[in-house]
Formats: sequence, structure tokens, C-alpha cells
Amino acid sequence: MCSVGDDIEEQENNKFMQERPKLHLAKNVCMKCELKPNVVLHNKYPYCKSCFIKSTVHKFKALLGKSRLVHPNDNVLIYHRIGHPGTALLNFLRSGLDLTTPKKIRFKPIVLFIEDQYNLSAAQRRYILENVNKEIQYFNFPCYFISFVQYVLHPEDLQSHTHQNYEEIIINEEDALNIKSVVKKKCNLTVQQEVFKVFEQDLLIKTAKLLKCKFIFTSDLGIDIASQLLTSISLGRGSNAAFDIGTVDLRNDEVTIIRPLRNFSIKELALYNVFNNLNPVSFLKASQNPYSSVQNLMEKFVSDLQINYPSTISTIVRTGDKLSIDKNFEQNEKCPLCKVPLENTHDKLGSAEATNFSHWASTQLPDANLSLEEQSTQLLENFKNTCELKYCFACSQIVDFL
Amino acid sequence: MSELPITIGFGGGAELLFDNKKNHPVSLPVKDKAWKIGDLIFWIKDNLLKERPDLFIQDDSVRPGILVLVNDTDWELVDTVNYEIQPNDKIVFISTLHGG
Repeated sequence: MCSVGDDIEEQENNKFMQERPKLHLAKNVCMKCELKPNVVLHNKYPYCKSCFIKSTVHKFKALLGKSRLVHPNDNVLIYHRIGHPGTALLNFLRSGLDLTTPKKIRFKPIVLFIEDQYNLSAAQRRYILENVNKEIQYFNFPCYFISFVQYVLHPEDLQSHTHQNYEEIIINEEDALNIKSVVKKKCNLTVQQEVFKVFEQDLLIKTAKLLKCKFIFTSDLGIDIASQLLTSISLGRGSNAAFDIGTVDLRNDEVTIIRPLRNFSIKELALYNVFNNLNPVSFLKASQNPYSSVQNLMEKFVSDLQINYPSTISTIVRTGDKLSIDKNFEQNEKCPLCKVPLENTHDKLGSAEATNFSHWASTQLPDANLSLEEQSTQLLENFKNTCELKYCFACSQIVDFL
Repeated sequence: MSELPITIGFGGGAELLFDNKKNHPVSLPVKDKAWKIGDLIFWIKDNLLKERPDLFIQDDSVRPGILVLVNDTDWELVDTVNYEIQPNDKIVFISTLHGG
């Protein structure tokens, strides 16, 4: 048992981190205009309604402005998802486009909705699609719909899956079974979610190219970034985590993924929607077991911590921001699944290679005609020939299930 | 003391637990002590909630992930469960769970 700290103080209070302190505001007035506050953020910053909305919009634009990537008239694919962040993103864009001041947004958003609720009944999925379509129409954006199941089953034929009319989306009652046919039966939920994420990334990039978009905006929030960072590290993607969590994901040469909502909390965006009278599409999700996959567990871990320690997410995200991609590998060949540059294996052997070697060596039949020394030289030579990396470490763990 | 008329609202998917109805004008029954939001949460559970109480209540408050607004003001500014409800208050519960 770990006994760190036990010998210092036996008092309960000092054994654990301090829980969320009671709200204690220096002044009970809005930080900006000193009127009566309506909202308190991060447990200590009070805002009135109008200053809150202004600062939220400003935060969105500041991140976009800082990245200075998107130019006027560029097409940007907006990856719309159901929920407060997705709806808030659409409203940020619509209000930015409708401005007449120099701060007007000048790029052209195209909304993409991927229908992936294959665990629900066909009627529910139709209902969701219909309402998502209504929502996008309300904001008046050009939009496209794609069925995730159809894409996963026939990835080569993207054009025929891309519909402007949501009614053309194919929905089968057996989709939940159909989609699982791409992975082997024994595969656990963690691997399954990894595989589907690879498909999702692929689908986004390909659709962006098809629709001539150089950028993709996702609606990932701080919590998504924080749990993604911990997931990436625990699944062996640590060296490439910066791609998964950064403001921009540059792993594809033609299409850049931008995460413009990564500095927001769900509370900010939910209240932003409420104050703008926006209601995201909602449906009752089947409750998922948080212990069934590494991804679900990480999300639960981060969100549970966040409840009592309100700086959890920002601490994890800021720590993640210090990670970068090893420049030495940038020009290397890319992993065919997750598209990160492969590492050089010959420089020095890491623990993964050592495990592989030991597995490989113990499954080879020794040639009895050779001396021991010759046998080991041959073994080493042969191993070097086999260990040309085709996949990155994490993907080599999931590729066997495909 | 007479009955206490207020409006209860649900949004962001929380309405799905309440017959998909967003606004509920109600009169809270007479009680010897003042009505606090903490009491209201349990009154809602007994009188309005249709399904899955675990998605609405946790311990003696709302489940984390549900925001509460009292007359458009964050309930954290009015001492959360200890707020004393006034006549004609509008109390809104907003779910922030992804997808409801």
C-alpha cells in the first residue's frame, strides 16, 4: 500500500487535496461592467449576461485570429455534432458572418453531419437527422450528410455517400451489427473505438478534399482534449499526442484540422446557447459503462475530477500544450492508419522493440547445423529485416483486429 | 402562508426526462419552512420526473452536469440548494451531458 504522506500528518484534511472551496467572490459584481452578475465561471469570475456573451464570442475569435491560418474565401468544413458545443459553434459562425464591422468572418463554412447513432432505432435516427437538418437550415449554411456505417462498409465510394438531402441517408435496423463486421469478434471496445476513430478521421479528411475545403473545424471542448490526451498516452500514442490535442492538427499536408472550441468549458457554451435562445437537438442516449473502454474511463476520470477540482481540465490541456512532435521524424513515411510520421527504429531499441524481439526470437526454430554464435548472428540479421515498421506502435496493436 | 407559484423550465436535453415538456408552471404546496431549491429538486423528482432519476439527481442536489438558472442567473451566485424560492421565480435546469 502506498503510504506517502501518512507520516507527516494524520489529520484527514491534510491527507487529500483540498476540495472545491465554497464560492467566495471578492465583489459580487460583473468583472467588466460592475453590474449585477448572472454567471460565475471557474468558480470565481462573475459576469453579467451581456459581458458574458461578448467575452465568449471574443474568446472564439481570438483563438481563430491567433492561429492566422484561415484566409478570406477559404472553404472550411464544419464537423457538426449534436450538443451544446456544435450548436454554439454554428451560432459563433453565423453571427460572425453577419457582422458588418471589420471583425466579420470572411471564410465560407460548409457543414458536415455524420450520422453515427447506429445504436438507436431507425425511427429515432430519422427523428435526429430531421432535427439536425432543421438546425443547420436555421443557421442557413450549406450542408452535407454522410452515413458513418455506409462509409465504413464501403470507404472507396465516398461521393455516393455524400448527400445534401438528409432523406437520402441510408438507415438500416441492422447497422449496429453491420458496422461491427469490420473488426474481428474478439476485439474489445477500446480497440473498436480506436478503429472507428481512424475511420472518422479518414472520412473527415476525404470529405474535406471532396468539398474542396482546406480546413476542418471540430467542436472538441477542453474536456475532450484532456481526456484525449490521457487516452493517447495510455494507448501508446504519446509521441504523437500533440496531433490529437493541439489547436491545429497538421498531420495531413492538404487539410488542416482546427479545434476552435478547445479553450471552452461545457458550462460556457451551454449558457451561451441558453442566453441566445438556442436549443441543441437532444435525445436520450443509452447509458454507457464507463469501465468498458479506456476512452470512456478517461472521460469519466477527467469529468469526475473536474467537479471538485475546477482547474483539472485546464491543467491537463496546458500540460499537453507543451508537447510537440519530434522534428526528426517529420519527413518520415506515415502510418497508413492514423497518418502520423513513423519513428526511426534503428537508432536505439525501446521497450516495445525489446518485447517484439523476445517474442520473435522465442518463436524461431534454431538451425542445428550452425554454431551458437552463428545462430545468434543470423537471428539478429533476420530480426532487423522483419522490423521495418509499417504501422506506428499504437496502430500495430489494433491492426490485427481489422 | 399560501401556495407558491413558480415556473420550472428544462433544457439542453433535460426536458426528455419530463415528457419532453420544456415549461412547467406549478404551484408549490404550503410548507411551514421556506421553500429552498434543495427541497424543490426532490419535489420535482416526486411530482414531475418521468424516468431515470439518476440522470437528474445525485445525493442531495442535481447531478453534476446540470446547470441551474434562477431568473436567468447562475445558481452558484445565489447559494445553490440553499436559495429561498420567491413567488414567480423562473427556475431552469439545463443538461450539459453530451447529447442529452
